[in-house]
Amino acid sequence: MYIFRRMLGTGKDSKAAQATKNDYELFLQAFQKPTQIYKLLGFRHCVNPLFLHRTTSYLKHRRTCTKRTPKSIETMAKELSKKATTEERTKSREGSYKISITDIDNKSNPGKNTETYDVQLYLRKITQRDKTEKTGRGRLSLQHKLHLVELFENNPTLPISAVAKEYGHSFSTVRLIKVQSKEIRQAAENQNITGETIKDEPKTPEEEETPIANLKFTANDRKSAARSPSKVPSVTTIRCSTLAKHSSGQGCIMEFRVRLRTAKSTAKDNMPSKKKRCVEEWCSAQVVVQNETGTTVLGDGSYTLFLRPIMSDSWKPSQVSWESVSSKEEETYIKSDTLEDDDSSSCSTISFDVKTDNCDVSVLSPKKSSSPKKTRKSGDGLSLKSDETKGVLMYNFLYNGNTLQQTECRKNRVCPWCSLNCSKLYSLLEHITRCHPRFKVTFIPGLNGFDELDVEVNELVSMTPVPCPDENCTVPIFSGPNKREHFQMQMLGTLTRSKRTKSDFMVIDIAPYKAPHSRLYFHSKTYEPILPHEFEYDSEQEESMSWMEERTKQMIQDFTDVNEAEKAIMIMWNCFILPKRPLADHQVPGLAREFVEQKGGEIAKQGLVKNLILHLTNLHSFGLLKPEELESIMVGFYNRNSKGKNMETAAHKQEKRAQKHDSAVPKHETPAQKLGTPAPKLETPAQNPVTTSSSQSTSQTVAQSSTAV
Amino acid sequence: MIPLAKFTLINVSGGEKESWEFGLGFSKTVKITSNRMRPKKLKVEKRELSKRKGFKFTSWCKEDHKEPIFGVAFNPYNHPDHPPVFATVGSNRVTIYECTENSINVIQSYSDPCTEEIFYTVCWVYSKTEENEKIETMVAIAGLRGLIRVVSLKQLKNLFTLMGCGDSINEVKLHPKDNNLLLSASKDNSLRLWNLKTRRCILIFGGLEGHRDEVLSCDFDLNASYVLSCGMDHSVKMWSLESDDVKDIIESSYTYSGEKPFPVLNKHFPVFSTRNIHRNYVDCVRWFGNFVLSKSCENKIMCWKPNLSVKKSSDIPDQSEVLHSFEYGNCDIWYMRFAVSPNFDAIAAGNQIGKVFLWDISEEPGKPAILSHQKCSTAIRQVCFSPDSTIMVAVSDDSSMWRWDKEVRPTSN
Repeated sequence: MYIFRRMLGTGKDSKAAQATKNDYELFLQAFQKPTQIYKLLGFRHCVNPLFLHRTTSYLKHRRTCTKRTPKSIETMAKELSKKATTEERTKSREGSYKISITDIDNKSNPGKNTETYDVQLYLRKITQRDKTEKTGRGRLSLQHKLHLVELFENNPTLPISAVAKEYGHSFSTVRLIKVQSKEIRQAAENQNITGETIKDEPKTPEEEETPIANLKFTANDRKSAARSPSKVPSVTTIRCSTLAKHSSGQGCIMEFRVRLRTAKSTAKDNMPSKKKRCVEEWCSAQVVVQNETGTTVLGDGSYTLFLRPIMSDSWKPSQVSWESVSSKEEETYIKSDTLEDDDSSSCSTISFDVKTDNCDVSVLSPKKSSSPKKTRKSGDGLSLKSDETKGVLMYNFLYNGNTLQQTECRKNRVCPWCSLNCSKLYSLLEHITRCHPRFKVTFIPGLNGFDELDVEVNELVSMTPVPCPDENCTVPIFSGPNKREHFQMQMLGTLTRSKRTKSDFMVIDIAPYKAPHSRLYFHSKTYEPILPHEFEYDSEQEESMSWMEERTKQMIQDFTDVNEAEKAIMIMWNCFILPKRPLADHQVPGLAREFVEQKGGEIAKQGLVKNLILHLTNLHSFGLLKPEELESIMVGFYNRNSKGKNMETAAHKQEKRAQKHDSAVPKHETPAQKLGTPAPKLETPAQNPVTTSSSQSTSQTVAQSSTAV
Repeated sequence: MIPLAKFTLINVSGGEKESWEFGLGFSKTVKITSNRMRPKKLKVEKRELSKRKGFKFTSWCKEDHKEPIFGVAFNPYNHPDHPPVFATVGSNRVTIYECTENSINVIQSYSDPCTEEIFYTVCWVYSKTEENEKIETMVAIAGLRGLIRVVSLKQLKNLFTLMGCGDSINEVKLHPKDNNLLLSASKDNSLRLWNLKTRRCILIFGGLEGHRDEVLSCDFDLNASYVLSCGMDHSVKMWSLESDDVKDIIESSYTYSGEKPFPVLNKHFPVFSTRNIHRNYVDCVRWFGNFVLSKSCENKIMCWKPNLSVKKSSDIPDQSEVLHSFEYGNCDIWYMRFAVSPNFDAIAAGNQIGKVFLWDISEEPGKPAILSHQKCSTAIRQVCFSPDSTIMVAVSDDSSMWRWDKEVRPTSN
């Protein structure tokens, strides 16, 4: 009983396993091919990007360059005067950011009691170059920005210090270095006038970038700090004017650079000396003060940033693409997005408070009046909402006739097939429907940000080269080859297309899919179109040469100087040799043997033995058959067809030998008769044609028959 | 199968019908577009008329495309109680007409999406149930582009298209016994037999001993054991459908599953072939019992008898015996079709100046009756008799068609 149960149990298990396996197989069957195709295309784009001129209006927010309009001198003058006034106004209403560093938590060196950190504070402009040149850091900042923006907009009053630990530290402000404002102002002016922000970017950031503030921050022993509640944060103040100059309407990032001393484990590393135990390392953390649209995102509150070591990134220009997708970077980015929580325990952090003082947001950016308006406008059309960028998106992969489903969750808005970060749900939907037509996507809006996407395989896109449905272009009018006409298409005007919203994706409305090419293939013999399932068959397979056989028979029958018996053996041989298509002389012996094996019975029945011998002798005289081969063939023939007639065999052996010597001129009498042996039974009336035919014609016709070889 | 481009039905009940011109014989003229034309009396030779039953002009109709009408065919499967129905093809158009009391009525008209298409030939096809009950009437039309379109007159659409002919198709014919077999004669020097059920080409007549140039015409005999074909190579060939391999391939075409390409049989050897009858393009050939009627652009129709038994050595038999030649005039252009009436008592052929010659062959063939109309002056491309042989329709190059009715003479005469 127990054994039985056990067996039952295992059976169930294996059944379940089998079921899941089958399920998975089905899933693979449905989705493998299109997914592979798109992954390959995506990968190819990473390796060898192809830039096409196209306007992806749905990815507007990812655009890195803005439209430039030529400016007239008057407008430039106006702008200058405007700028002057705004600057004046800014000065009059000088606001400031008060940034006080409250804590630096060095995770890599937890044992140290008191430590002094050098903190440098940079302000960075968000420019195109900045993002692309330092891909690694630029992207990290982007991520932080997104993160911060989310949190900030959700709950502006909440201080983001979830990870910050309240350990007591004593602080001492050491020095505050003012910005070398001259250089930067010059740069800012240049930027404003020419409007070219890229060119003014310093070539080597280390040389020309100057920190706006250098701070020293001393962290005390934790235990002692707990006892002494007094906290003296290292404070720096940034004026709004400097901020405006740095951002110049394009956004601004604040970067903290902290010199950390990290203790390295010596056992594993190759550093025996105690001095090298402490490794000084510059780490950085970035926070966005202003975004591209000019809105200030850094509000009052406490912030904690993760410090990351500054790496020397090598940037390869060939890997830059307009989508700024490069496989490795993107992957790390995606990973970091999901593994954020785990990172927090191992990373050093810097905590700081921000306090805005008399800081009018509108003053911060000179372009503020125009740019936010723009974004709002476009946002309305595309129904862009900030919450599109966050929330869990569920991909329901439907298969097996929509009866089975596999679900995958993703937090980001990265295309699952080509890992393009669309960053917005609308863009993602638009991207998938446009770039991955092998899938049908239906959008189901869910509650609490749990949006769902039903993904099906588009049956209309078949994997086989189907003939184009439009007959008009496939079947041309038979007018012979003609020169293709040159034509040029000019597109004037712009396409006005109604902008789609997310709700448009909730209904599948797929236009009938047109095959990517209009090629139609035809069977070479019948000229019928090749249907998809017929592609595996070669229409040029060796066909039966029945007509050729018939023709050969006809032609041989038409010979006037050949007797019937000769014709018979010629037809037999030619029809035998026709489908074999021999290519070389050395094949002849084998074919002759095969011929005798196959047709031997027939030959014996019709009494064509002598003609056969004549034919084989002819082959010999043309150097295609060796005497010993001839002999063996004939021996085989006699053994098969006239068993127990050994006498004859012997006689015919002699006959052959006799013929070998003068094969060109066949004897009128059989050699057997000549030798005086008893007349063999083979001498039937049917054999007579050989003896009656003139020697000349025989040699001719057999020669003809053998040339057919 | 391959999806089809839209094959449009022209709305004939609405405004478009206006562009057709209609005319009636003798008594009155009904013309919708203009009133300028008036048909004149027909000139039938009095002498001939008095002797034998003649044909009388009844009405005419003109299509609006101003292109030649190349083909006409009466529906042989029409119910005898219903008015006769015929189809014409010209330009990219096929139109179905009905012969009422003494006029012609348009019933349906279809046009090909490709404006460059020119249909040359039309053939009536029907589908039937297991119990031999006809269920659907269709027309098969083919032409310049080498596509055979099968149009259902019931469903008002192009059911399917047979693709594969290497060039234009000059004539299509339905197998007289098996309604699923269609024969096409093509410019690609071959004839093809199609199975309409499985929609595949099953047999190709052509190759080694086949036609050396365009095949212009073809015909089945009544037992469907032979196929006649003729072409630009001045030859008339006869192909057998009785041989075992042909029977096998026809049978297997019904059980064809469609997984593999169909093993199309290629017949290279006709059972009879002659170049002795005509010295020019042979553009029409018809069976007349065991005799053959064939026509070249030499102003005569030859009636001859192929001699299959006489065989010179191993060649294909080519001996024939000319029985009669029907001579007429003004017909030295090619692609002109004559017709034999279904009851085999008359042969009609048009010439290039719009006259129709009619031979009564129920008795000793004599001089033809000449049917002419003043307005009909362009080449008559094809003539066709209704199933009961009482109506004859001739189609001409100026996109008009002319209806002639058999005169019913009072019995007292």
